[in-house]
Amino acid sequence: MLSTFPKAGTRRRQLSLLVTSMSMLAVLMLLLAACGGSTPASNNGPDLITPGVLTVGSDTTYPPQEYIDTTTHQAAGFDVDLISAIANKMGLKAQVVTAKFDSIISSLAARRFDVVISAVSITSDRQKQADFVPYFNAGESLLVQNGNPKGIKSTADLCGMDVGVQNGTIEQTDLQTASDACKKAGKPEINMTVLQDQTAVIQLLQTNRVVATYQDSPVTDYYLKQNPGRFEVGGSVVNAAPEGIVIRKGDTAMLNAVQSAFNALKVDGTYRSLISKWGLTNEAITTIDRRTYVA
Amino acid sequence: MFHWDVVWQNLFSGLFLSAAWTTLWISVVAQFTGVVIGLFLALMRMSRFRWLNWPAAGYIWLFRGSPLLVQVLILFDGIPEMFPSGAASRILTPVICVLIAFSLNEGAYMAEIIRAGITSVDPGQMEAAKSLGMRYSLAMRRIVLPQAARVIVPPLGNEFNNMLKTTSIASVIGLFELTNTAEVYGSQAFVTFELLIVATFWYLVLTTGWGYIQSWIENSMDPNRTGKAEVAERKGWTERMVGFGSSRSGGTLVGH
Repeated sequence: MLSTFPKAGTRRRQLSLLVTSMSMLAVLMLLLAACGGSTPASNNGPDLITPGVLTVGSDTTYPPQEYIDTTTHQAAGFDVDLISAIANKMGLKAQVVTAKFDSIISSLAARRFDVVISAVSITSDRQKQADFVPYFNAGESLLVQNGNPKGIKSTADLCGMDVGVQNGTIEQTDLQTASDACKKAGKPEINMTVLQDQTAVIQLLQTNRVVATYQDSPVTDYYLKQNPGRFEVGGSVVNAAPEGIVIRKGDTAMLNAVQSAFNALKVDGTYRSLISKWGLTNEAITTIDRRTYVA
Repeated sequence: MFHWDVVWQNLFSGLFLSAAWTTLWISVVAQFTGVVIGLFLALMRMSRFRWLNWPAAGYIWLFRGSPLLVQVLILFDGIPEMFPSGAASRILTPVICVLIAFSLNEGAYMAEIIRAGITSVDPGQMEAAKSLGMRYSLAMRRIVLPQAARVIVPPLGNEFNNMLKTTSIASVIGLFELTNTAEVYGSQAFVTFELLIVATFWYLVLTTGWGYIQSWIENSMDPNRTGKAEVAERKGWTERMVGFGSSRSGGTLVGH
């Protein structure tokens, strides 16, 4: 029967194709809708992803500021303690989410977290992307093998050498600048190995793949303390600059809430005690001019 | 904010051209080595001698059963940890680690594909070749493998297509292939998304190019090429894309 009506048969098949593709499309749309969860707006206080919880993004490969404690399997460190105390003052509970450092500010903008605390140095480029509550001062320093066999005193000594650095950090930018300077002076460029985790970067030095790693000075000091007799600091601490708690651009309610909670912690002495608990005495912030850091 | 100008600036930049080249040559070398390893493993696996059969089975079990990412990390971080003098680090550079891990891993998968191809050839072919006085190796080379190749090439094409994209695993040890280039150069100026689009473009260029090469290989191995072209011509667009729909002919091999 069908063969006598070839056109009808063709149409039916086309129709079934149409139905199939439409239903596939519908399933896709449903999946997409399921992915983009909605955020309930609350009337008082900052807008939170989960009510009652301050969701914090942090690259937990950066001890002593943030790392995963191997015994408790929880995020630990100075930054983690500080943001938990801040959340407490705000009447919330801090929930730390591990994130990749190189995309942490984009993830904040995409509402994966409410705030970010991850030893983020405040730079003018980053201030275009987000607002900051400065909470800490850190410099940059080089970690080298014990005895400093290559005699490395600063990034200017690194021309033609293998150096490890974490992706997206200001140290990466500074090494690139130093490398360009090498090139200009007619010397070989710095051979950078750029990895996603700071722990993987330190691993490069442990396996002799690089002669130095470049990171924040508290991190350098931490690994020095953790591996006695194995490493040494190459030269001195440079470019001391404030680090900030990162707040989504335009989230004024959050910015004000975090800032006043932090100020309260400074007044009641909690900030001081955390600084000394983590052995970071030199890096505490004493005076803060907020206006400098909020665009 | 999405910066289209960043995409255009980087699309054909030397940075991404060299990254695409790295991705391509690593894939080609690893796939080639993988096919060679796989061929020998497949023959060993089909051997009736235990001391040939078992090691091959063990190799395939090990490499198919553990993640490629873990294998790369063991080579890059684990082995130099065992030899702290630094000699292992000098030998196992990122490129070498990736080539070894990818080749060994690919060998295990290719072994199974090649074994399936050889098994698909009628055993009568081997018997006939032997009755004509051919030795096993000659019969394998001249009679069985050429016939098996037609079965092997489509999944091999799949494997190479996968290989081109799996090289992104090399980004964890800092090798500048497409994915790592996009991430490292994108993070500083907050243009990671833009550069990942550029990387995607290059992955598509590579896989599309391979698609053409693969169909050329398949076509040149087809004993009746005219017949195949005819089928392709007669299939409607929907039929080729989704497997059903308006077809202008029966879809079976006709006219030979």
